[in-house]
Amino acid sequence: MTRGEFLDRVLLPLGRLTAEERENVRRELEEHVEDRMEVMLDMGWDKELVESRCLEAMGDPAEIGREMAAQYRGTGWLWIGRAAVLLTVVVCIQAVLGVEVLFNAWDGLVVRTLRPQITSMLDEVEAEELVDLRMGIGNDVLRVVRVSVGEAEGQRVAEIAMCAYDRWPFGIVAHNCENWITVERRESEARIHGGPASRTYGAECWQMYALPAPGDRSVVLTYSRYGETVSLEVPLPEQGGAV
Amino acid sequence: MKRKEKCLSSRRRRTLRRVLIAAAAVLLANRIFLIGLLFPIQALRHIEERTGTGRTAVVCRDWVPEIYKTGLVYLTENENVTMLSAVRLSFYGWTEFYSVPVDCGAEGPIHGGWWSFVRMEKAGRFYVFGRVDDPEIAWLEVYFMRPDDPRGEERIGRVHGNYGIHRGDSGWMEKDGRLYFLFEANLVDWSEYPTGLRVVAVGYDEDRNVVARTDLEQGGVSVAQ
Repeated sequence: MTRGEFLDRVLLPLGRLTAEERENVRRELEEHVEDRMEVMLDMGWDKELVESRCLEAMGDPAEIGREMAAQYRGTGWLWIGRAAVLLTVVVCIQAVLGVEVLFNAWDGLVVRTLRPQITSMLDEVEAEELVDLRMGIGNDVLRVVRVSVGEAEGQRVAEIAMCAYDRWPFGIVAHNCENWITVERRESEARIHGGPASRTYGAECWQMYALPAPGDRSVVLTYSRYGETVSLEVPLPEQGGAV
Repeated sequence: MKRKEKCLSSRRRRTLRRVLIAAAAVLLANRIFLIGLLFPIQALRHIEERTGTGRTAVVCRDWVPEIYKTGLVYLTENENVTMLSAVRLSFYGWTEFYSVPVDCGAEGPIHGGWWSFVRMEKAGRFYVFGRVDDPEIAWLEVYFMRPDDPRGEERIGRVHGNYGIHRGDSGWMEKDGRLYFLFEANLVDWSEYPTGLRVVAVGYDEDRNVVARTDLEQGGVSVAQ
């Protein structure tokens, strides 16, 4: 029996193998025969004799085939494997097409760790202070990054620049959460609400305004929504606060 | 034969390896790219994050092929929120496309909202949903008011069926000891619903006396091609 005939007999009961699996089995068996032959050839034996002895030593090819077939039972596993490959390919395509979503994560990272640039809407800045005040609101974090006092639309206002980001670095921040934030003086509710905002899934930044009175040293931000109420006292810059 | 066992990759082992790779890819896409969601409930979790409601539990779920073939509408709740959300299956996996969260944190007999969706100006759905906190309320009716209505008010039931609901009816659901309602109807003609729509829920006791009347302010209109 030649090596080719031997391999064909081994592969005969393996009819349900995929082409790739069949090729793997064939290659492995050939390598196994080669290994055995190598030792005997080194001892000076004739090549044809060595091959025939090695094939005999391997045993009944039909039996080897049955043992091999046992390792490749279960078409369910085959289909699960194919589904997994398909899923991986689809997810990779989705990720490539949706790569701009990574900018959301970048926005979240910037707002969390660096000092985001938030345009001031004040016509004339009287005093400004960079701060880093944070408080948890729901699943997110509110971060106050700058407090300014100055003129806007003919009024003396305090401008509070702030951002919100999710607690999880790649998470989604709540949309428009400034709608549930009020910024107040301790003894007055007068306020100008809102300014231009930047919004992505990763972070949202905006400004809010209060009308400080002479002597005011701070304003209070209050978030109240879905049964949760939390407050944060924001000190006004020295020159702009107590006048 | 020892070498064969070591080197040959069995079908099962290879499948497990592929499944692990797929799981890692899906996890990465879900958490970093926020896409590739395999289950609609994951899209609902995204809605919760975007609306800031915190985790909610599903009260009921409705398949809405009139809106999207794979569209699902969820009514979900927690102690402080009742929310109607819509998700659908797209190429990017399950994705959210609308939500109306209603803050139930404040005291009140009825909390609720509404959502109207029209697609291609042909088919659409109209939902009114909410929570009833007053145990006296045994019967609930929903009205909508339109700016062009000479009487200023018209009961929805006259146009699209019965919008009155009694405790024990199918549209009246209980979850975590709280009572929820969900009315729904197919929109026949979108032009009947101008943007100035105002929706009012009226609660009655067993003797049909008015117990509560609440404007359902949280609501929205979606129009898609």
